[in-house]
Amino acid sequence: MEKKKQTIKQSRSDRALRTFFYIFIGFFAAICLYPLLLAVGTSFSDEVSVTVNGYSVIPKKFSLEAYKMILGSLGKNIMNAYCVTIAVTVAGTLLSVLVSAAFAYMLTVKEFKPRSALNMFLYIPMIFSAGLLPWYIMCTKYYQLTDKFWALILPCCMNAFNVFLLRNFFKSIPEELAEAAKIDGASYLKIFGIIYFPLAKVGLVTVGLFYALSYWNDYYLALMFINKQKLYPLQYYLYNMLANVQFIANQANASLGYNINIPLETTKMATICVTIGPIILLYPFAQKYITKGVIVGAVKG
Amino acid sequence: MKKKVLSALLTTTLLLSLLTGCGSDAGQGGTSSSENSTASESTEQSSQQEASGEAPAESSTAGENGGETSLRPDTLDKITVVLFGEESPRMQELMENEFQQMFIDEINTEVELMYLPWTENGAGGKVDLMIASGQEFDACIVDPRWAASSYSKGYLQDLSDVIDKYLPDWHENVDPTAFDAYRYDGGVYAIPIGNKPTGGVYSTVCVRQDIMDAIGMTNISTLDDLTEYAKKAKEQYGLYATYELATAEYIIRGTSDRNLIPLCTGIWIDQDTKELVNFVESPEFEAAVKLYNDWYAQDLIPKDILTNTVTLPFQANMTSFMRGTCGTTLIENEPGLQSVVPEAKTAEYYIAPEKPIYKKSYENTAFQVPITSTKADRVALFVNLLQKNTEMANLFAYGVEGTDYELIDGKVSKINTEELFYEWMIYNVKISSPTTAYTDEFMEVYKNWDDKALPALSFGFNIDYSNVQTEKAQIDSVWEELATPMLAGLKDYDSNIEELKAELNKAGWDTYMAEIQKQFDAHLAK
Repeated sequence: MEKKKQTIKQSRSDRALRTFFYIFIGFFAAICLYPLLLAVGTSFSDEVSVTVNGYSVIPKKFSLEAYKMILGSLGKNIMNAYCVTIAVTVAGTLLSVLVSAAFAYMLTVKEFKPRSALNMFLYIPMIFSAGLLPWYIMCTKYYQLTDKFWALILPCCMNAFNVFLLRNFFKSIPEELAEAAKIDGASYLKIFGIIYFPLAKVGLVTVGLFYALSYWNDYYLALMFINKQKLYPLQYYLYNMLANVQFIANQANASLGYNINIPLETTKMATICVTIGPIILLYPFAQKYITKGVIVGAVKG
Repeated sequence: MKKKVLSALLTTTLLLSLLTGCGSDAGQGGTSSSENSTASESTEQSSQQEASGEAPAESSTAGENGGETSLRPDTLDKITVVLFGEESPRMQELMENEFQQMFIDEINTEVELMYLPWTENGAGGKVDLMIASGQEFDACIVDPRWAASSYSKGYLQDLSDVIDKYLPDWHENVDPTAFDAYRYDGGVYAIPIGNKPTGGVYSTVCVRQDIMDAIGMTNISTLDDLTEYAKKAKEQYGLYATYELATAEYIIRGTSDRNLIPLCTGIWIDQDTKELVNFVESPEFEAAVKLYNDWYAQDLIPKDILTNTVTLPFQANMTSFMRGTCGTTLIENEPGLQSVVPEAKTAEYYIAPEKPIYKKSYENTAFQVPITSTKADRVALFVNLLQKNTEMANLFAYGVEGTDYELIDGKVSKINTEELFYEWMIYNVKISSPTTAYTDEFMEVYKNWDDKALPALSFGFNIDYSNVQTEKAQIDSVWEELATPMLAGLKDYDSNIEELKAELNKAGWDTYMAEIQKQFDAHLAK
């Protein structure tokens, strides 16, 4: 009880600091939120009013043209792209977490002799890269990934940084647990599945979110390997569309044949709103794990 | 101990790679050429693999009469053509039915389209990667600048043989001068497509005719006229003059009697003396910058001229003039402008109308055939078909008559608005039907627009910067930092010109100029 009082006394000086921090964080949050609100406001604006008056949080002239363009005639394609992205994100995240966790676990098993060599095998590509061309040849000529669903997952299936992060999580689990299980006759697979996997939940969710984000935002793999429109993920579909809008806008001044007015700035903003929607909802659910995960990683790292 | 050695080794490697990154010009040149050679080697390898593994495609049975029907190959084959953008649903449908049937009937070739985003259109994009890795495709659209880069890497196939044999209709409908932009060392490396007038493009100034009428001006033929117009437009309508820099060709055209055409950063060509002009030291540069300094002082130039990335300020009713595009601004700019100002009208004027008009380019778009393809003959037949006659040009650009468009008095009224083969690529003033947006009067002027145009000396000249890469990068950087604010009118001429000259010299101007002069002399000698 006395201790509690002491804390309150101490917190008097802290209170000012805390208030300052809250104001600072609130201000910082507002700065971060403002561009997002600006994007939402602009996406509902008329293109001409944006061109003349600039971006605004509250639309000067309300218009749904940009959304009509994105979701209207192209709605079917967008929905298809959404499905591809969701499938890639779910399958990719599960596979990546499984592979990364298995690799990370293997790096923590002391009896496994080649682990140092495999550690280096993982470490070297973090520093040196063979370059784009060999990677491209490997994926297209040897793995035959062109126009395959797995092209959107396999080339980025395991991230070395995430594996090291997981290895540190696993290292924080007392070895005695594994030893006890081993004495009881558990196999490595069982130890991994029953002890390590559930105990490193914080780390797995953190790494899972990193993977989910990278799969959700990725358009580069599609750019490299996908030609069939049916397999376009959302980000690539919209990237492609924005590139086309930009081209048509430039082309309009250069040759005969084009006199179409396409919403440009508003389209960009509407695109942002459409793409960030679902993934932004993941954050509140995973937030507590991320905080813990980052702290654990920092201490152990 | 092992760890220490390993970490020392890693640190040394990192340091070395850092030093390489910040290395001298010689180092950069070396890296670049080794990259090029690696790419070329891999291309050569892949082409060798193809050559050894696969026999060349069955050549067409070109008839002795040279007739078009005899050019149709006996065997069915398939070509893959890379285009940019997005395949519209209607295009997908047509490519599975009417278009595909037409390709098979006419040239016995199945055509598969592969679409990439427009960001990949150019050197260093996915197409280059596909060629370097030996991935199979047979054609892709290209522009002269990209073609020059690809040629220097050994990515392109010499098409000299196929263009004589497989383009009979093309030769009827397209100006063969268009090939000049793709000629290197005696070979032809792409097949241009389309035919549109380009004489005097960007040499005219497009102004608001409704404002001209309101302020009582009838003509703009000098920079003084333009200044007067800009001032009155600002006073009475609150419009800024322009977002374009003082290097705009219509401005330079009015600054002296010389006929200058821009070539590259800091260099223009005098069309009469055939000399390269150091632009910064020219009287034209001085006059243009001083004019913009005056305009800026009079608040005619927007304060955010260098930072506002607004795409079409003239159409958004923010400025009173912009560069003209050989007559078509009337069609291209007015509809956008009228959505903001319904009563707006536009007109194009030549500053110094007595000076000649130059044609700086023919068709910018062409089809390249990668060195890895064995079907250049089929590609040539494909391009020939797109430019064969009115029926074909209309079919591939507008779709099926009755379903996708209707012909009203010889003009196309679109029913389907989805993009098929690019209209701007296929449009050929000799054979294509214009849309109903184009009046008869306009088409009459447009068709004969190039009649008085002289070919510019720079036409077909592509600069190879590989020997002056570092100088070029440094000069571009100095230009952006020091020249651009002057050309925007923000910095005054007298107190900044000496610094600009000194910095350009320091960046290696003499070497840069000498190299381009050498290449230009060689171009003129041809």
